[in-house]
Formats: sequence, C-alpha cells, structure tokens
Amino acid sequence: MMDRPRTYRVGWLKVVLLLSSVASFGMLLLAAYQENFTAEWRTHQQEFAHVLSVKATAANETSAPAGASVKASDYPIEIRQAFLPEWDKVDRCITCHVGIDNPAMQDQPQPLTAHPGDILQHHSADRYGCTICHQGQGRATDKEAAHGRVPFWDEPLLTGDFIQSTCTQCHHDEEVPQAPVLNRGRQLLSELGCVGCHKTGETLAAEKVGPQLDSVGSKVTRKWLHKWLADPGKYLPEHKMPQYPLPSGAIDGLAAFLMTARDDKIDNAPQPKGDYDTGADIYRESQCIVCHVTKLDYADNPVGGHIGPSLMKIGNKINQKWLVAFFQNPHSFLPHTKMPGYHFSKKEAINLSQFAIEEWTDYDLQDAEAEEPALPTGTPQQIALGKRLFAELDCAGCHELKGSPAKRDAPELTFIGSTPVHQLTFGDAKVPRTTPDFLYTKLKSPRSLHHKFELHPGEDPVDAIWENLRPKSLFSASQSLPDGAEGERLAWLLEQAKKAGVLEKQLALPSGTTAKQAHWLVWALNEVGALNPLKMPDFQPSDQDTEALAIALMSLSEVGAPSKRFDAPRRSKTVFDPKDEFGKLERHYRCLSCHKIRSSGELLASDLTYEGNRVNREWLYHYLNQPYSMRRMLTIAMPIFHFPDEESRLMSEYMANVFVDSDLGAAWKRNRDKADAGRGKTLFQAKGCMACHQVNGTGGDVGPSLTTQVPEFPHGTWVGDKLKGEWVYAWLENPQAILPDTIEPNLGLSDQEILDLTAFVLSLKNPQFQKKNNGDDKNNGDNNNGQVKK
Amino acid sequence: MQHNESDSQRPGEAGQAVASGALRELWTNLLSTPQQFFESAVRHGRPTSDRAASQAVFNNVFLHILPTRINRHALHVRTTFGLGVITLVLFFLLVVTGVALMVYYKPSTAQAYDSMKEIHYIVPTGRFMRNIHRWSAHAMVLAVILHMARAFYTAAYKGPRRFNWVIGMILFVLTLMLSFTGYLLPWDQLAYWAVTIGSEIAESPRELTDALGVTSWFDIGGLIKRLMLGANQVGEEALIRFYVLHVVVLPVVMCIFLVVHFWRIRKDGGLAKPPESGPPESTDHESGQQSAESGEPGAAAQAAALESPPGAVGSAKTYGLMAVVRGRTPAVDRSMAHTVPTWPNAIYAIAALSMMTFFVILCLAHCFDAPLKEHANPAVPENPAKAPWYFLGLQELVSYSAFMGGVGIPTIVVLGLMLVPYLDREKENSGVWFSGRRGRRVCLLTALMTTCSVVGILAFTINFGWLRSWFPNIPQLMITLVNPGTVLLALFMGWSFAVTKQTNSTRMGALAVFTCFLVAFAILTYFATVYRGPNWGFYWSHSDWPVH
Amino acid sequence: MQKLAIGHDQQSFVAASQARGKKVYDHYCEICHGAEGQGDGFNSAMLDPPPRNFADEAFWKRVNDEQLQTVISRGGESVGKSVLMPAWGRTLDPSQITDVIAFLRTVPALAKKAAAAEESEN
Repeated sequence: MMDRPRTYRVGWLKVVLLLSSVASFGMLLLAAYQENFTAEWRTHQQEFAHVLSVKATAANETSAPAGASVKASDYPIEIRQAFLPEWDKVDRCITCHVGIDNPAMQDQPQPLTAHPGDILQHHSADRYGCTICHQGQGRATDKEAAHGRVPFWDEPLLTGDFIQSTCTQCHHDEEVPQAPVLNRGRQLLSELGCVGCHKTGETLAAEKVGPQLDSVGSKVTRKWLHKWLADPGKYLPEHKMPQYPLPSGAIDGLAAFLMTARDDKIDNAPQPKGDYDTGADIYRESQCIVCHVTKLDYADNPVGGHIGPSLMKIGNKINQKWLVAFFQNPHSFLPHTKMPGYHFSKKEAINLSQFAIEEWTDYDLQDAEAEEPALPTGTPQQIALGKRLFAELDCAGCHELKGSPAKRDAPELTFIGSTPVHQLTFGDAKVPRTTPDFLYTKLKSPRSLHHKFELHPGEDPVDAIWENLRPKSLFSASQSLPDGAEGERLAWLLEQAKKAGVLEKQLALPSGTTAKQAHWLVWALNEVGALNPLKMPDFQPSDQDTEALAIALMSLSEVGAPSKRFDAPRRSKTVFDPKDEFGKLERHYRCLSCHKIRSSGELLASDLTYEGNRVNREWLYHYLNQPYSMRRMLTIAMPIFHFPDEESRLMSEYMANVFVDSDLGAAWKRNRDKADAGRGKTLFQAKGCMACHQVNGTGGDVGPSLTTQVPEFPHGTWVGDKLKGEWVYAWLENPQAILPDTIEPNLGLSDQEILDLTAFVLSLKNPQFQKKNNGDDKNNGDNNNGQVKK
Repeated sequence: MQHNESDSQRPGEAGQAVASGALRELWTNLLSTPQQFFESAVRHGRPTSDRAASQAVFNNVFLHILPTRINRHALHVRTTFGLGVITLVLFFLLVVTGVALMVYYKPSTAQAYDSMKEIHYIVPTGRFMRNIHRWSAHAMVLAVILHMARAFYTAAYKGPRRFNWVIGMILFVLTLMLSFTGYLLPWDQLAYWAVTIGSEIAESPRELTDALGVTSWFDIGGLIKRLMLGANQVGEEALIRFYVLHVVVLPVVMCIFLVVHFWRIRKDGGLAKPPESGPPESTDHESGQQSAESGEPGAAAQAAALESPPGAVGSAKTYGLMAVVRGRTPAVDRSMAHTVPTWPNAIYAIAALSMMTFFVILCLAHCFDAPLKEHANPAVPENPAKAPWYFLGLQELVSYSAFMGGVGIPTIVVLGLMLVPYLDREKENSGVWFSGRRGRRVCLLTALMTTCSVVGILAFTINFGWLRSWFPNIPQLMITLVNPGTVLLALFMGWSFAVTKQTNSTRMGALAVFTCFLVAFAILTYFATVYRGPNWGFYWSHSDWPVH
Repeated sequence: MQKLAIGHDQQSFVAASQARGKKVYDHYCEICHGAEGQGDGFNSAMLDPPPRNFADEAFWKRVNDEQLQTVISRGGESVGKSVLMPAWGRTLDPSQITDVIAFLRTVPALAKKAAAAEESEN
C-alpha cells in the first residue's frame, strides 16, 4: 500500500460541490414551486372556488335548508381551455376568467366576473372561444402574455368598442345589429367617400359621395368656388368635403378648370324674377326644414335636418338660374339625391328660388365680396393645370365629372386590419405601436404619421427638394429644373414655390453657404407642408367618428371564418324597388329618404312595411292629401306634395293591399268578439298608459296622442279612425318585434288584456272624421274590405 | 468486502438446511438483498487506500475514462479552466432537455410554433426546460471556442495530440451545426430569417461560379442550399431536415467523435502539461513508430533529462498493461511523485465544476426567457435579418463578398487551423500558456495589430465604401478576390509569416495566426451584433435605426 | 392624442357599464326622469306623482340594487308605487338594467358637480 495521497484540494472541492448541488436543487425546487403553486391562474381559480362555495352556502340558507353545501376544495384547480381546431386556436382565457358563463358571477370583479350582455348565449365559449372576437394570445396562461401586450404578439386584446371590429369575420353583412359602432364606421367609410380613393374589397356603389360637377360652372360663383376649395369650413361649418392643403396656385388652377364645366341651357336662360312670399309658402308646404338647415334659433344654433346640405348661405354661392332648373327636376342634376321630386311648375320654381336666394344670403358677406376685386377668368395654362390636379388629387373619387375617371390609386385597405404592426408607418409620432392606435391617429390627423422630409448627405439638395415638392402637377409638368450653380438653382426653386403660392412672396434665401440655404428652404417648405407626399386630406372627424372609422378599418382583415359552419347566415338584403306604378312614384317622391319599407330606406318617418295591417285605407288617403303631426309638440310632418288624386288613391290602395302580413295580429281577427272596450278602459288606467299617451287632452306627451286635435285639421283622425285592430293587438303584444327601437315597453299583457285594450283603443274615434268620412264613403275603418268605391 | 458474495454458499449451512431453514434463509437473503445488490453493482466500498481508489476508478464504466492517477498539474484551475468538462456538461444538459422537449415539439410548419407556445405556457416546466436548452446551446458554442483557444495557447495541439486537435475542430464544426439546426425549430421570425440568411451563406459559392460563368452546369452553391433546405426556400422540407439533423444525425455523429476525442486524451497521455510538473508526457512504448509519426526523435529522453534531477535517470518501465496496448502510459516511479489518485481529487473537481455549470445555466434559465418572436412569415422579412450570433462575423464578411465570407474564408480558417499541428512541429513548452513570455508578447502584439486593422478596415469601408463604389463596372470576380475579408486574411497571413521569420519559430507564427483569427472573430461578431441595422447599414445604436 | 392601447382595469369596466347604462337611460328613461336624472324630463309635467329624482341622496340610502332591479323590471305597481312607471323587464334584459342602475348611482355625484360648476359661474 502506498501513502495516503494528500487530498489538499478535496476539502474545498467538497464544499463547492455541496454548495452548488444544494443551490441547483434549490433552483429546481423553486421552478417546481412556481410551476405548481404560484401561477396566477391558480390563485384566481382558488378565489373562484371560494366565491362559489360562499354563494352556494348563501343559497342553501335561504332556499334549501338540508341541501349539500359546496366545498371549495371540490372545485378542480386546472387549466381550462376552449379548443377550436378549425380556427387553429386554443383559448385558455377561461383558465382565469372562470366565471365567464356563470350568471351568478355578475357581481364579481375581473377576472372572475360573468360576460356582460347575452352574447355568450349565441356564441358559446366552447364553440367560439374568446380570441376570435377579443384577440389576444389564447394559448398563454399569464395575464400580460394572454392579453397580448407583450413584444412579438401582433394581436393585443381589443379594448372598448374595438371588439366590434372582429364581428365581420363571420358576419359579412353590412349591418351587425349588435355592433353599432362598427356599423357607424362602415357607414362613414362610404359616406365620407373613403372608397372613392381606397380599394376596400367591397363593390363600389354607383353613387359618388360628392355632387356631380358636370354643370358646376353654371351652378356656383367663381368667388365661392375659390373660397370653398381653400377652406370649405369657412362657408359651411358642417361641410362634408375635407380640406386639402392646397397652395393658392393650385386653387386658381382647379377653380379655372371647374368653371369650364357648364350647362349652356342654364347659362342662356333669362334671369328669373319671382315673388318672395309665394316662395315662402311653397317652402313651408314642402317641409324643406326636415332635410335642410334653414334657420338659426335664438342661440344661433342651426335648425333643420342634416340629410341635405345647410341652406344658410346658398345665396352667396348659387346662381339662381341653376336653382330654378334644379327645382324643376332635381334628379337630372343629382341622380342619387334623397331630395324628392316635387311638382313645381316653372313659376313655382322661380318663386321658390327667389325666396331661397333672398332668405338665405349672408348680406355682410355679399357686401364684403362686392368690394373684393373680380376674379379673372382662368388662363388656358391654369385650366390645364386644374385638370392635372383634378386627376392627381383624384377628385373623381368623390365627384362625377365627364372625361375625368377616378384612379382609386390610394393605398389599398382591403386587409388593413390584419397588416402586421411593423409594416405600418408610424413616422415620428409618439403613439403606441398598435394597429388601432395607428388607424385612429391616421384618421384624426393624417400628417402626424409621417417623417419630416430631410436632406440626406450625398444627394443633390435641389434635385431632392424638386422631386418631393407637392402637389406634383403644380411643379413638374410645365417646367424642368435648370442647370447652373447651386445657389442659383435654389433661388429658382424658391421663385417657383412663390409663384405657386406655396411660400409667401416676401421670403428670400438667407445669406450664407448653399448648404445653409438649402436647409432653410427645406425648413420653410416643411412648415407649409409642401414636402409631404401624403395626398390624404384632413377629414377632421370627431373623436367618436374617428373611433368608429378605425373600428370599421380594423374589421377589414384577412382573417375570416375558416369554415362555412361559422359564417353567420347572410340576411338577404332585399332592396325595395318594385318595377310597377308605385315604384315609379316612389322613385319620384323618394319615399325611402324618410320611410322604411322592408328594411330599405330610413326611419325618419314611420316604417311602411306593414302599413296595410296598420292603418285604414281611408285614413291613409286623407293623410296623403293633408298630412299632419301625430304629436302635439312636433310641427314637422310629411311635406305636402299636392299629390294628384289618382296618385294618392293609388298609393293608399297599394299600401293597403301590398304592405300586409296576414299573420300579424291574427289573434285579434279570431277573438275580437271576446274583447270588451270597457275593461280595456280600466286597464288603460291601471297599466299607466296615460303616462305617455294622451286621451282627450290628459296624459303624457311621449307617445302619439290617441285623440289628436290639430287646429288646422278639425277633421283630424283619432287612433280608432286610423289604426286597425290586428296591428294594435300585435303592437301591444310585443312592440319591439315590430319596431326594435321603440320605447313603448312590453308590458307582458295577457291575451285577454290585449284584446280588451285593443277594443278600447279602437273605440277612440273622432266623430267629425267619421261624419265626413261617411259622407264621402260608406266604409267604416275597421271593417274595411280593401275596396275603394270610385 | 468481496468475500461477502460467498457467504451464503457455505457448504455446511446448505447441507444442514431443512425446509424451514431454507425459508429462513430466503428471508435473510431477502433482507440483505439491497445491500447485496449495491455491492454487486459497485463492487467496492469507500476507497480507503490509493489502490482501492485506483480500483474504484478502473472498475467503473463511467469513471474509467479517467486514468487511475492524474497529474497534479491537470487539476490546477489555470491549466484548463475546466472548459472541456463544462462543454461536456452542457452537452449532457442539451441531450437531456432536448429529449424532454422532443416529446412535445411537433416538427411541422403548421404546428411547430404552436407547440413552442404550448411548451412555453402549458407543459409543466416546459419554459424552464426550453430556457435551459437554449442557454446551454449558446454557452456550449462559447465554451467550445474558449476550449479551443485554451488548447491552442497551451500548445496542446502539438506532439501526440495532433490528431485530437483535428477531432476537436470537427467537434467545433459539429457544435455549430447542431446549434444552427436547432435555431430553426421554433419556427418564429427570428428562426426563419436567421436560417434564411444561413442558407444564403450556404449558397454563396454561386457568386464564384457566376463570376466564372459556370453556374448553369456547375451550381455548387445552389446544390448545397437545396440539399440543406430540400427546396428553394426555408419551409416544411427544411424544417423536417433540420429536425432530423438536430435530434438524430448530428448528436450521434457528435457522440462518436466525442468518444474518440476522450479516448485520444487518455491515449495521448492526458492533458498537456509543462515539463516541470512531471515527465513531459510519458514514455513512448514503441519509440520508433511513435517518433516517426510525431516527428519528435528523442523528445522524451530530452524532456526527461530536462525535468529529472541530474543523475537520477528513471527506468524505462511503464504502467502499460500489455505490450499490445499502444499509446502512452505513465512511466513507473518517475511520474508517481507528480500524480495524485483520480479518486477523490479529479472526481470531486469534475463533480463540483459540473454542478457549478449546471447551477449557472439554471440561474440563466430562471432569469431570462429564451426568445420567441412572431410566427414565421415568409412575406414579412425581418430587417435586419441576422444569423445566430456565432455566424454574425461571417455575415459581416458575406456582406462584402458572399463566396469569400460564406465559404472561402471559413474553409481557409478551419482547414488552416487543422493544419497548424502539422506545420508547427516545434517541441517545446507544451502545456505552458502562450509558450512563455515571448509568446505572450507575440500574442499581445498580434491582438493589438488585429484590433487596429479590423476596426480600421471596418471604419474605412463604412466611410468610403469598397471597390464597387469607386469603379461601378468592376467585375464581380475582382471583388470576390479583393474585399475587406480577403484583405484581412492576407494581412493575417503576412503578419504570421513575418512573426515566424522574425522569431524564427513556427510556434510563434501559429500563435500569431490563431490570435489574429480569434480577435478578428470576436470583433466582427461584436460589430455585426451591435452596430449593424436595417439593410446591414451601420448605426451607432439601436435607437438610430430608421423607423419603417 | 387619445391613447387607445390602455388595458381595461376594474375601474374601466365599471365605467363601461355606466356608459352603457347611460345610453339605455337616454333612450328609454330620460323623457320622464330628465337628462340629469333629476326627475325633470320633458314628460314629467304630465305625471302625477312626478318621476323619481335620482339626485336625492336620501333615496339612495333607502334602496339597494335589488330593489331597483325589481322596480325597473316589474314596474312601479309591483312595489306599491305609481303605475305610471311601466315594467321594463320584457323590454330590457337584466344586464341592461344593471347598467342603468350603475349609471343612476352616479347621478348624485354628477348633480353635485353641476351645482358646484353653476355656483362657481355665478
């Protein structure tokens, strides 16, 4: 045996081994502990289990004394997930949001609370998961990662109304009833004319958002056109046309070009001279105020509708000759307008135009304009420049003009919602790098998301500035950059910019090196935005509209339902457009501008879809001839169109026979014998109906009065003269089924109660109307058999 | 203790056994089974003597890769810094965590990324496992490079270990390949574009064939790329290829070379050690043959004369077991004074080092999550798309000339380094860092020169461009031949020859050339990591990158 | 610039509920109970007894959410109050009523704020 070796190292080696082993073991234990005990979702589930047991105990105490109590420990603590193979998604959101489909959890804070609303009833969490609608990272199990607010995850949780942007993955319809903001945004997309320049993958409507410009030169004054192009907001605060940042040279050109679009017939007509007072009567009868702002109230707030443009200053704008022609046949000037065709004779049109021009002129403005020098007619160069600018700015995206087709060459938006964030140009803007923020900021102030133009070392400053000067038509087409010393070329550039009205006339290059001069020029041009290649105008939308638009754009996503099973059934969108006589009348009077018929049209006035079930034909006939307001506090009613008698007869008969659903209120027809108006009268009091409806002058003013008394129409109808029993019955049964937005509450009446109330309502007839009606015609309202005696 | 085994078979007891006796015996046997089992497996208790300690090492299949006695010098921290052991531990960690990850990973483009997310969020400790795997892989590349540097600077590539150096170079390349193939598997943007860049590097011979106009019938670059990716783009084919390479082919090849590597360490006489810490290496068994092979006639005798006290010439007897065992074994009685038993000295050192490595990796894995970017998207290029960090130096060279940076220079460097032991046959100061003061000075000077020249040429290229900016119509072949990469290479070669000539020592030349490569690699890697931005442009910091 | 990328915390969920509630209130309730919830809506003059004034803090001390839920969904009749308050239970769903109550609870504070603003103006 040899000597025992000196183990001089082994001592401390053992210590190191021991320490590192213990430390490593500790790390492993730590990892195991964190994995199994401290995970966020475990604590949430434990809390949930606790809440469950508390709730169960409480329920047992009140209802079932001997019931088994739920123990918190019985609730399994585990990863919960919705597996959606077709979507390639695994959503573990319900691992933390455990109470999402438990209505009892509504009072709990996040993440245990129940889902608000009834969305989950139609979109069960099992089938749809969470991230299809909310986005975020479904596979993750810690909060930040799951909500997607981590680097390298492009779809962070959508917040607020932005959730609506994902509805379109399955709901391809124009309207998603549960997503009002999305709908508003989509409506704005088309209303603002975004699709005029941007492709969005949707079929283009035939109508462009701006007025047709074919006769604009005969329609407006040159001065107005200049001012409008420079700043539309000055003429019309609620203008629809956005402001383009255009230098004066460009405005001169565009105006010169547009003034060449004329209509000889109008130009050659004699100057009209009409009567103001007669025109005023026509104005009142025609109810212009329903669609147009026509006056200001005591606080200078505009009064009137916003369907058509404000008329407050048209006297400063419009050529009266054009107005006369327009009143006689508005649809030939604006084929897609909502304005009804009135039966104006030439004389009436002249009188109305006289009233319009005199009533709606800003005389201060007129006097001021009279003092300004008259604008010269455009030179051929200006007209040519205007034509190029019209094309460069793609004005044809919104305005029809013969010979100028739309280019639609703005960036395509078809899949903007699913574009990776890092492909979006944020420029120098200090906004969070997310798609919603990008869209919001871009819409709110387009130019904030752009790099300022800068000179780069190594490139020729004059060339670079020349290349980037905007609008391009103003600079590049006619002139080309001269050769010469750099200082001279810079001076030439400045001269061009001044000539175009981009820079002010008194500016001059600073003394110093050419580099300094070039930087000054860049600064000056940047200040006026002439080096920003962005063409998009500033729409100045309100915060709400901006958000709605951003949501609508977010919904333009490449992501769609992976299988037909998830596609929401397309609601066949029927456009009411019959090819018969009634259709012809509708197209002329544009009923759908105010009324809704079978989901076409607007709901400014009543829905006519079930008009045949709703009202008696006689009443309708009288109403068409002499419309009045149902509500005491409202003076606005249907315009008096002076329908020719055969037209009002045709319309009332058509509606009585065609706009009918035989199932509506069928119970009334079966059981009307059992109805008792006396009981109904008591019920009317007991149910508090008079809170909203007036009968004989007592009661609220929320709903229409049931015994309308209009001084101008002493033979005015009461509800029993107007409505049919089947409709009253159906309405009382479930008002929202007929008119989803109505505020008439569904009182949950029994069948007998409805019968009695209906009988009571129908008993309210105006004796005067009955008398008059019986004189005309033997038919009694509710027994109407659909025949009109001639 | 070995007599225990025969205890139960005493003939007397067996003969007198009755039925109940046999049952009792069964019972006692059963009770003593755990102890018996342990003894039959381990065959010895705690070694109390050198002999027992040697036996413990010798008899254990895992330990017998070590010699029974080990040179005291080899246990000094400064000798190796334990880099070889660290590398091995990292490899073991990679294998273990790799197998665990394999259970959950799905090698298809549709599922790979999702399975990574599953590993991250759902698989118990999956994130931890992946972190360990990721950081071990990076650490292993680093450890291998440092291990190589250690071997080179201590002249351990010399003499009998020449072939093992070559094996080491192969292992180095295998490590890089393993790391690179693993890089693609997460199928995220980082992986996708790094591998795309990698495949473009592989395709770079096309630049040369293009310049020579022979690509149409001899497209070696395209061939390599297609072999690698199985398609023209990184996709499903590439993923499955990389997966198979990563989990089967390369690890198996790696293991084979590892075994050879370790075997050769033993057979080449253990770790390289300076003469003052023992006999230079060992005695040649078959002197003639070995000498002829190694070209060191009389080296052993010379060395022995150097280190042994005058007049105390030791015997030529060694501890070789059989005459047929070739290679070197410790010489009897001469080396004993400088050695200590492997058990417990080396065993504890290795165990402690392994545990420390393990601990460091665990800490890293606990503190830093392995990166996982967005799902791979061929339509959205990363800009800049950067290769894994160890290829960034190459990527920098590739930006000058694809062929030279991607194939030419790396081949020259790897082949050159493999050749070094065969060109530098000076037999002196093996196991001494930098071969003494002169070498240290050479290395320092070389490092200084390399730093200046690499930084200088980078600064020059960034400010003034290269040939193409001055002569736009210059043929590509010219650029392939003359570019910052080749200029540096030529400079390094020239410098090394000058050093060789000046010092009249091939070892000094070798030190110079290796230092050149190492420092240039470090600077280029750092430069490309930190200062290269979108479109491979130069940016002082990440905040200067253009927002796009 | 409005920051959109903010997370919803508990507070904003309550705020969202109140905002939803206000929309419902404006559509269905405002005409009698008034724009500020002070029982002074357009139609209130026609009603006897007058509609509830929600700015009255004493009222909030008397009632809890459950009672409000009952009176809104089943009408004034159900708790012995005026029949002029109709039952909304079949028109609004429970979560809408919850939202409305959440909004109503903010009325006293809003009224106080408005009064303070008016005072500072005078």
